[in-house]
Amino acid sequence: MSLVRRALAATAAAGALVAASATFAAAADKITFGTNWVAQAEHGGYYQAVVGGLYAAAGIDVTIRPGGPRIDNAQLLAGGALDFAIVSNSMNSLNFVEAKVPMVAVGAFFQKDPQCFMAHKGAYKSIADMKGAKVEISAGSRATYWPFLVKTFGLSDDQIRPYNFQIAPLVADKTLVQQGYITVSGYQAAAADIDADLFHFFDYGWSSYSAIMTTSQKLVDENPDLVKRFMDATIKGWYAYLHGDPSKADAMILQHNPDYTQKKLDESRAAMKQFGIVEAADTATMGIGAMTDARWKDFYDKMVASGLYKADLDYKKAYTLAFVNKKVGM
Amino acid sequence: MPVVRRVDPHERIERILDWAMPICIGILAIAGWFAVVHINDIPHYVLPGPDLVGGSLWNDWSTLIDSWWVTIKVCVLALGLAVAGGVGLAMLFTLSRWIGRSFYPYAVILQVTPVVAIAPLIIIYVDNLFIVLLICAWLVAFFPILSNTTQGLNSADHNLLNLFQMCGANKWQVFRLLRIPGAMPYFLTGFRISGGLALIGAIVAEFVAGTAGSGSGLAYRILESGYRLNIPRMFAALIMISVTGILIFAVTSFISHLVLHRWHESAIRREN
Repeated sequence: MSLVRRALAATAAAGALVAASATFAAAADKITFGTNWVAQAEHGGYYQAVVGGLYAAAGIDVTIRPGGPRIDNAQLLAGGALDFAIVSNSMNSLNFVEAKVPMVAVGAFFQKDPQCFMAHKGAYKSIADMKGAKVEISAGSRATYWPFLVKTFGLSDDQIRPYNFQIAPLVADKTLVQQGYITVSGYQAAAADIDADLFHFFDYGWSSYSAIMTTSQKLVDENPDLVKRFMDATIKGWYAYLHGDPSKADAMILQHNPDYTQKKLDESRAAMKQFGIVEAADTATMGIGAMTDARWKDFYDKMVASGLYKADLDYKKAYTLAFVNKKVGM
Repeated sequence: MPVVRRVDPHERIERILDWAMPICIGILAIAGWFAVVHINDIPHYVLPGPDLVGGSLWNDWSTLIDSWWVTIKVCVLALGLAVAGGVGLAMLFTLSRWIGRSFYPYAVILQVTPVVAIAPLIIIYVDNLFIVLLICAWLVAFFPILSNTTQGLNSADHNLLNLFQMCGANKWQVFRLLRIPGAMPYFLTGFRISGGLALIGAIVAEFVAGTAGSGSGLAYRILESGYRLNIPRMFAALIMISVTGILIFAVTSFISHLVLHRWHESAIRREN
């Protein structure tokens, strides 16, 4: 056997090995999954499902792509850059229907939208009490909860001040109201030495879900088994993160978001439990991720009343209950 | 007896071509856009066709025109302030060399400061949001006027300066009769650049500073349309911005023509 021939044979053998390992790897479904913000405790369940091997056990190779301030998951999903994504509230799901983008909500990992208002202690008794106050909200919020609050509590557009994700203006102005996030605002205020009141929109009738797992109608139709495996593993991930040892997931979150701290992780995780963000009434009977027709209808009706949608939208196309409410992981 | 100027047929064709060529290119581009979208079956939420965008422009016209009015108000006011500020400062800088030397570097600092970065600070300092927008747009728009006008005021013909001196003209006369007319072409160049920049400034300002009250400019419409996945409306808003830019350019060019067409080389016909 000439040297060349021997070399060729060796290459062929190596090639066959590579090909074999490639087919083995291809057995796992590759999924890119976008979260709605930089890595943080609010994504603990997904990271837990990765580090705890829950996705791998379900035959799925998941890449988590963290979101951020200027990243719009709804647009990335619609454009096909993501297979699954977390969207922040039920309006995102209704927007897909309104714009005829074939995306569908398959589960709600936050039963309550953590959006809230933050103000100095005692400055306001309730949201209705905030008439005339300066209210800092982000541009996106003007198109979401704000019209609902205007309609329900008689606030007005000229109260809006631009919110730039800094707590400094609130420190300076005792009468200011700022948008907040119930799982972080508490310790943010404490860190800035503010004694703050939080007004959780959920308590005021904002019945939006949050952390809504969304994927394409196409995937739901063509490969429901993959969607089911992904959802079951994610649900189990959340149970493990909230009730088990979160340290491995926390480590991965800190690796994805080096500015974050263990202290914040612990505080946010505690707040998620305290305010019943992931686990609330419906999840107690149906499991994490639960959604109900009644809740979607309630939200849609309120949004129609606030003038955000026409009354003839087929809002039921926004979601499917096929992958939740099965008591998985309970 | 009126003098009839014979119009050269060649010149007439040239004039028609000035209009016809850009329009042809525009029609071709829209046709190409339509073809690409429909042949490749691109979903409307990725790239809407011109038909959808046109439809959105038609259906949402009342919303869009309200927003356009908000944006154009900021833009025109900022441009006016940029002219006042730019020309005023340029005069000051030329009249007093010491003031010029001392302050010019600071004008450059204002020019290079990214408005996106300082807008959040301006919001904290200034209570009225409309004024915040105005300051942001003005910051972007004023420097070309300042720098061009300063250059113009310093570019008076030295022979003419000597002549004025010989005839015993005082500083103010030199300024009024020689420097200001001489600076006009420079100023107007700066003015045309700033017209476009004021529009960009108004929109960028609104993106970072937002708007309060019921008045929401085109930037908010773009944000909102993106959020609602209403991409055709987003494109419609972008088209309105482009058309506004062209209008501003046309108006500033026309003003420039009015001022210069009697005497300046750039506007009068060569005789040979």
